[in-house]
Amino acid sequence: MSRAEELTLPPIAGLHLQPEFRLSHTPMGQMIGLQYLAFGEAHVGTGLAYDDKLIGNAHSGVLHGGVLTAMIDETAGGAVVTATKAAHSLATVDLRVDYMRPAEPGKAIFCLAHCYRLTRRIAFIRAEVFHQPDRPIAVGTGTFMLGANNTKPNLLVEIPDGKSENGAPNNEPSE
Amino acid sequence: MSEMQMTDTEMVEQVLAHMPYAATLGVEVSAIEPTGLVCRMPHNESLIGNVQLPAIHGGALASFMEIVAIMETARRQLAHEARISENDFVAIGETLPVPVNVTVQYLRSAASLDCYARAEVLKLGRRSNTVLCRMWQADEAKPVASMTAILVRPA
Repeated sequence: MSRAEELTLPPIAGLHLQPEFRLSHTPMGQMIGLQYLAFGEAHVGTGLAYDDKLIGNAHSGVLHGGVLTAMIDETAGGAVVTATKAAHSLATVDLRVDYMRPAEPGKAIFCLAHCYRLTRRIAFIRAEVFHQPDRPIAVGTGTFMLGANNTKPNLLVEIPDGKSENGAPNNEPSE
Repeated sequence: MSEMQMTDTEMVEQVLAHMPYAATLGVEVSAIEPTGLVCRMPHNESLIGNVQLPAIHGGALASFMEIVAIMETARRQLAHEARISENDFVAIGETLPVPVNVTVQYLRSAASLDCYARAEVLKLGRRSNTVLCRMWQADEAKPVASMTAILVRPA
């Protein structure tokens, strides 16, 4: 796997995130080069360097939409784990992604995901992909099921707070 | 069919060749049916999203279905257009359908097995196209995921 440079999440107005660099723990995330860049209470920010193998149209050089969807899926999963502050197994139930404009060839993309509502079984997420935060390339909305299987997602995303063992999910909204 | 026009098989192979990301995922054409296109994504360890189950990454499944949806929409669009001749790289690149949005349902965990997806164009329009895609592994009667995609012609 080629080593892309470490990316830095552009500042997000009105949101404090703790910078923390980490490569994706999933083989798929590693294949597309997903980097975890910053963590908040219920937010996760990731980045992805431009790579020829991720192109969706060789004529234009624009990244494939599926790359953005994969990025949103994994970043949103990270936001759910971060929001629950516990090692629940996760499964994506559904995900809708709107492609607002093409990603610019040659430029890194970033994703900010927010778990904005948690119940005992379901987590609701929103996510955006962008070069710069005020110009979204793609916007995602989805739901995740908690406790869907017996695996521990802290092997996918380490929890910065360290509270990781089987904590009960918080029934309150995350903000 | 004129001599200049590609066959359906040539057409979908040409469209596939325009998507480097499809090659990265290992997507290949499985069958061209009257009502849709079936593709295969052979199992590969780098598609895994949960190493403990193990299960294929939801993003890999969504990417696979979106690729098949684009290919089938392109096939249906280009089938009406004799102007695309073989090896016309720029023409195919300029006419590849552009996804506006995709909605994915994850129905079952995807095991370490080959994936298949069938895309069917529900509506082929002058402006927008609506495509339904179903994905399965060992048993087609047990879908693993489905996608509805809206695609438009490039501006």
